[in-house]
Amino acid sequence: MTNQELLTKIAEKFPAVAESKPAAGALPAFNLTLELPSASIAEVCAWLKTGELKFDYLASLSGVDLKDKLQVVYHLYSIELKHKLILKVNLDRLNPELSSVNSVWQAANWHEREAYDMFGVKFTGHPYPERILTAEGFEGYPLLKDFIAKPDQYD
Amino acid sequence: MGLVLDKAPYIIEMMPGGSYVVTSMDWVINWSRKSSLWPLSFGLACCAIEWMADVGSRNDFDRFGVFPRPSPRQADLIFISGTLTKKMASRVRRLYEQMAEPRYVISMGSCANSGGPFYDSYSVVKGVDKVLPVDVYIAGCPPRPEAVLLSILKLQEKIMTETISHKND
Ligand code: SF4
Repeated sequence: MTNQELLTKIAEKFPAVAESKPAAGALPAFNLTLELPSASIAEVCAWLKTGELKFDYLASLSGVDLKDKLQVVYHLYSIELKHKLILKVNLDRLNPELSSVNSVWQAANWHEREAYDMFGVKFTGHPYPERILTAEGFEGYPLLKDFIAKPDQYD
Repeated sequence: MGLVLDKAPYIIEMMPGGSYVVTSMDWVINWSRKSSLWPLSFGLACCAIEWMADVGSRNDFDRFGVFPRPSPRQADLIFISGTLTKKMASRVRRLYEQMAEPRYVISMGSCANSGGPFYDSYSVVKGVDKVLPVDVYIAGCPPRPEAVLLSILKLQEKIMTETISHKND
C-alpha cells in the first residue's frame, strides 16, 4: 500500500491524526509519518494492528527529547502487507504520560521500560513499569538534555 | 593450620641457611604459577570480542600456559576486557572474589583502564581499578594481540618477584 493510500485509510477512521511534515531543510521522510494526540494512542494502535492495515510488528518504540517537549516514536511494519508507518506522539515535558501499547504488541514491554528509564515517560497500564538498563537505585533520566550525572563511588 | 603455613616460610627464613631454602621454594612456586595462568572466560564489550580472537589458535596463548577456564573457581587470572558499567561493577567484584588466591587482574583496553571513550558517561566506571586491584594495564582500543601477549609476559615477570615469606600486596 502506498503512503497516500495508508494516509487516506487512517484519516478516514481517525480525523485527529495529521501527517507530520519534515522540518525546513530536512530530507522528506521515506515512510509515512503521522502525528497524533497522546490520548488516542492506544485506540489507534489497536486498530492498526487488528484492522485491515495489519500492522503486526512494532519494530521500535523510542523517546526523543525536543527540549520544549518529549516525543515518543513508534515504528510499525506489516509483515503480511509489507508496508511501514511511523507514529509520533508529543508529550508535556513536565508530566510525560502515555498509555501503554503492551497489550497490542508484546514488544512494547521492554521498549516502554527503556523509554521510561531514559526519558521518564510514564506508560499507564504497563504490567511492570520499572527501570530496565540503569543500575539499581539510579536517579534521573539520563537521555534528557538537562540531565546532569551525579558522581558516585565509581567516578 | 593456615596460620602455621602462613608463618612457616617467615620462620624458615630466620633460620641459618633458611633464606636459601625460601628463595629456592619461591622460584619453584613462582615458576609453576606463572607457567599455568588460567584466565577466566569472561568479557564485557568489544574488547572481549578481540580477546576471544586473541586466545584462539592463531596466537597460541597456550604456549605460555594461558588457557581460558569457564569457572572463577578454576581461574588464576581475570582479563577485564571492555567497558565496565556501574551496573556490572558489583558483579565483576563478585567474580573476582570467587577466584582462588593468588589471583591476578589484567585491565585490557582504554575502557577498562580509565573509562576510555565513555569517560563522560553516566553509566561507566572510570577505570576498573575503582573496583579491583589491577596488576597490568594494556593500552589500546582494542589492544593488539601482541599487546595482550606482552601483558602476560609482564605479569609473569611480576609473579617471579613474589615471595612466600610475605604477601606481595
Ligand atoms: S577499549 Fe575500545 S575496543 Fe575495548 S571495550 Fe572500550 S571501546 Fe571497545
